[in-house]
Amino acid sequence: MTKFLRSAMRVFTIVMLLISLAGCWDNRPVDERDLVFTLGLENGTPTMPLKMIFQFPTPPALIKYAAHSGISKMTPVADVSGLGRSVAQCFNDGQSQVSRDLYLGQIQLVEVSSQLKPQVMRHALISLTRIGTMDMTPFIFVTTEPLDLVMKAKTDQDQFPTLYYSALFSCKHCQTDNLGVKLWQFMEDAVTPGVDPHLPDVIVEPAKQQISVDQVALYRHFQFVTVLSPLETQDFGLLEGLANKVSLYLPRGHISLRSIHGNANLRTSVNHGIIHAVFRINLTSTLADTGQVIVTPAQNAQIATEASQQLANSCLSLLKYTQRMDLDPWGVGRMLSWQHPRTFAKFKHWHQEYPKVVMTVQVHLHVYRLGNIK
Amino acid sequence: MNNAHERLPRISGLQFGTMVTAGYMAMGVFYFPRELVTSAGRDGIWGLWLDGAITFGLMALSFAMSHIVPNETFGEFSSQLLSKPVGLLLGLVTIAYHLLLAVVMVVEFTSLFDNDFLSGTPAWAIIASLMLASLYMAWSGAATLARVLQAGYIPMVILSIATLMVAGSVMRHTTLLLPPTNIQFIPLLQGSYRQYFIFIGFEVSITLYPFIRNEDRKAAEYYAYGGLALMIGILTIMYEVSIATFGPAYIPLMRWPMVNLMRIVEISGFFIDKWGSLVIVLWTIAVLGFMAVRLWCTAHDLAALLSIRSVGAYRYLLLLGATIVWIISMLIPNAAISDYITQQYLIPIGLIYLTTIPILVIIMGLLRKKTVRKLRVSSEDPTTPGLK
Repeated sequence: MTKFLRSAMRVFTIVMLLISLAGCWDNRPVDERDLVFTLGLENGTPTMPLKMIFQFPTPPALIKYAAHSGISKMTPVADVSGLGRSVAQCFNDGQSQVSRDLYLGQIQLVEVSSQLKPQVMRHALISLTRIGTMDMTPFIFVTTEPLDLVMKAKTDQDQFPTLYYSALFSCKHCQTDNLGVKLWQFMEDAVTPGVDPHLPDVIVEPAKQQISVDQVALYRHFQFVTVLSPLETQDFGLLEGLANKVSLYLPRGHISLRSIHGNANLRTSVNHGIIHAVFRINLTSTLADTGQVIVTPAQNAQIATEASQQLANSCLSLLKYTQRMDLDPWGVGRMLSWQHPRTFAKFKHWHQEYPKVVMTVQVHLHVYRLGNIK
Repeated sequence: MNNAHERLPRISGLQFGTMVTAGYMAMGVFYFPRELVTSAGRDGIWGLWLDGAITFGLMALSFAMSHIVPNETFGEFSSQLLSKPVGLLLGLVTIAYHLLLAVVMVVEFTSLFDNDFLSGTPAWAIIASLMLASLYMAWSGAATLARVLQAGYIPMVILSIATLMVAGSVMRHTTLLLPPTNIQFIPLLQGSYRQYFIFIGFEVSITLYPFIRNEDRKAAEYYAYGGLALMIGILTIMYEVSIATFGPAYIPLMRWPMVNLMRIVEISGFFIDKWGSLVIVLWTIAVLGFMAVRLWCTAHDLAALLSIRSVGAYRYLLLLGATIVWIISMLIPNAAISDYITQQYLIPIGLIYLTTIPILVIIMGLLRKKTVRKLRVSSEDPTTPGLK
């Protein structure tokens, strides 16, 4: 190869690499973009069944936040709503209302109205997970309140609601039960036979603008069914191994236990055609209050036994309640399909079998006496 | 270029193992383990190991074929051993196969990048970047390419393994880590067949074999087997982590399960918290390695087919191969079509090629011992010209 040809080839390669690799193709300055942090999904109109709310920080608030110069006095976030039959139509509708590029690559939170129709929700979430730029990691929650109210609730996180919710769900020790569910986790449960998905239910009291995240909403695939009370949610957390700061009061002896947490393990077995599900929950807790000044090891063991029994009973009653509701949020059917696939394959509809499962809850609670401050 | 050793810049055993592994590793890794899980469910892990065992066997067969005339590429000696028409046909099939594998890889990677990372960049620009970079890697011949792969590819593989270990933290169903014992054979075989394209590109070893230093040949074979074992190990980790994270029902609904898995890996507090996404971008090195090895093989097979014996022609042939891949890749609009091509044509043709050709050549070698001896002497002749 001649020297000229070699040089020409090098120049050509450099020029082509500059053209093809230049970031200019996808370069769009951040101030030309509306970075959507939160996405709201609710029912639209009869002809346009899906309404998507795109919430993004306003440019002044974002600049102030980036410069660490305190809370902006201006509205920190702005909303744009889009109506349509699909995510794409809603996006186009929303984009037509703003002059900047509505960017979905920074979504950290998906908020769903409990009223959202299951078919609409299914299509919307499947479409969302197929958008390449969208992360798989946003948290998702449901609310029985008006979506607008929850999305605009004032928080202490530089007034960005998204930061409040995502920080809360990321920090599992900041919750009584670690209720954070990511979009991919919800999707996996929703499409897997033998398990019903759940979502944290966010409540905002309009008068106080106070946010409560201590309840769990149960779904059957994409159909919202019911919300568990805060106490039931604690039992749900124990059975899922998500409990962090559960407290318990034993009336006999006026004993309080705090910081109950631990892991749970589900096993299934089939005996003479009857399905058994055994939840083994290993917990630790701290003795917070007792009527006596000194608690002997024997008394401590008795407290642990009594508390274990009480927790096991309340968990079992929750399991029976979900059996009556035909809801399997712990995935008893899913575990059966993994441990006894042939048995599971015989069932046409798992929901007809789930109420017949014989449930057992075994709680082993270890009580530390460190918390006795008397 | 006065003797056989000088006319072929030789590569070491480790370099051979790296090049062969790079020649198939990137193929279908983004889809993995969708095909296995869709067909075989949880049994997919057995399908993967079956694929690995079959590849071990086929690799041994291709090495046995290469032993017949170790200093000559298959394209060179096939027409003399199997007759000219058969040699010509095999040469054409080999070239078309290399090019099609390259096209499928380019389309798959371009679709992924277009969809997930560079939605504003036109496909022709992404493909052009890939072709130029891989062309540059292959430009100076096998030895340089092997050194580039050692420097870029091996660290990338180590980083990927480390990231997969981190991905273990997002696992939800540890029960699924245990291989199932009640296997259903038909779905397992279906899954194994459909997933085989992840290994199918190892046939580059046939073209590469003569470029190994004579004294390193045995070691090179061990390195190739070692690379395969390592790949099976990595794929096993990938499979286990992905199935224990997403479960067997969700994986079939995903377009790129492995990409999704990497994208949920976050390192909170680290200056790049989306660590998994960064590693996916670094997989470009694997794709470039794959492309460069393909282009290198195509150039050599084209030279053998066209009876070109000039060293200077290598780069023109390389350029020709890259241009063909670039043009065909732009004509395929998305990865669904390239996936169809893989399932319908590349897997069956590849399996037939890798099974029947070595057996045929070995049998012919036994029957035509005189020709083999003549070919061996000719390939050792210092005055025989050859390519870089």
